[in-house]
Amino acid sequence: MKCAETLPLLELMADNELPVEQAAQIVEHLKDCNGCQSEWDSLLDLRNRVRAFADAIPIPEGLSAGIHRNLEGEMQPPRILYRRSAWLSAALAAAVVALMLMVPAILGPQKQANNGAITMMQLVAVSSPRERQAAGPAKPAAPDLAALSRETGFTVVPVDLRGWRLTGAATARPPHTDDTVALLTYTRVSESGRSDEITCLQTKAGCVQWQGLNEHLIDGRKICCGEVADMSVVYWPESGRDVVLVSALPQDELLDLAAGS
Amino acid sequence: MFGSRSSKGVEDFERLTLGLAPRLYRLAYARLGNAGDAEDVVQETYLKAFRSFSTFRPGTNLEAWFTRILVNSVRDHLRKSARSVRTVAIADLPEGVDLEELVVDEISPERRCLEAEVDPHLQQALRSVPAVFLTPWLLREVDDLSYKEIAEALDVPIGTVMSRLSRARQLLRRLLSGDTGVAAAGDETQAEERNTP
Repeated sequence: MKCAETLPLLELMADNELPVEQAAQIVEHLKDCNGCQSEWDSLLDLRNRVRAFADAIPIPEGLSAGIHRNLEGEMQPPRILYRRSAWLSAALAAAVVALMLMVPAILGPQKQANNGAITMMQLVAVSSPRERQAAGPAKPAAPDLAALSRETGFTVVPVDLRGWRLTGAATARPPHTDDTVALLTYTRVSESGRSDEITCLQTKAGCVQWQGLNEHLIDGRKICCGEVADMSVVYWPESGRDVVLVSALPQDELLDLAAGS
Repeated sequence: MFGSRSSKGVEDFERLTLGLAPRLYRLAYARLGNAGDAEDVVQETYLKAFRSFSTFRPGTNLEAWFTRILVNSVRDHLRKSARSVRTVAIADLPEGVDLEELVVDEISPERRCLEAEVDPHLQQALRSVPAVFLTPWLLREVDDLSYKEIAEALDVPIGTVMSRLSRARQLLRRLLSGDTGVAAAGDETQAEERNTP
């Protein structure tokens, strides 16, 4: 075996990722080659140094007890009196969305001027499949993104959400607006078999009223997140479009996905 | 059932996972360099894991699953820390206070102690390697995870794990050999880090 063949394999051998036969050939080579042997020693030296450092990190005595206390705390009933139960939250959210959708019926067919702005509440309302249908002008999945872009009047671009699959695309008009937004549905089937869903809404650039969300600057990108009608929402502006994710997932998980997109 | 929200559920969860705590703590400490922060992140990791334990499938890699939660928690913690910059108006300072006394030292006292005792050059080098390379390398060298396990924990392909490990080793060896050109190499990798999961 030559040095040029050996050197690239040393790391694999050090990491126990090399087949035994190949490792045996390298060991033979090392016996006669000071250069490769020195490279090998250097790899192991680095490993020994970091392991010595890690071993020297003292583990806090109360670590396990602290974990236990926190987990037990999870089992306690909420002590905050105004904390809403899950069913009450869901009922309130449904009531808010239903009220929004009923407003046109109550007030008559007149449109409410919105100056081209779309609120988070309107986007959350249109993101639920049921409400999307109730909102009226929802259209079936477009055959391709180009068609979706033609319908919305701006270029619709799928976002890359790691671990999630784009399973649907449609257009819809949020209640009380004249704008058409793109709805991309992403799904993930968890190991327990539960199906989670994220709706990615895209609007014309500058349309989304994101005020009230928490603004973060992550890797040079402005990403805002918050909670609207008990749904997590994340918003960020892109060139040519505004993007909003709506999901029942925790806010931090949605923010992570957005930051990694 | 896994993830049952009862005392029995806590007991089952702890029985399966408490043994991982020291390893997770060391990984958090190596990344954060601070005992308090490392402990907070480990506690948070356990809470998150417990809350979503129903999604864990028995028989799959518990360690990789936990490590992924920890790595995300560390990343969130670093983001939050980067955002929470405290400022003090100079006009509010008492007379006679030297501004230099107010400079916040990023190295905690316990880390300083540890550094004095254990391989200060290595620790200095660890701080200079971008997380995107350092995390897989720590998982490999300290936690002895296989490439497949690291790939699962970080949710990246095995090929990416291999290239990041190689880059981490390359950077660390150059840093430890006193190569002054490594700082520039580290800067280059910052851009790469921003563009990688």
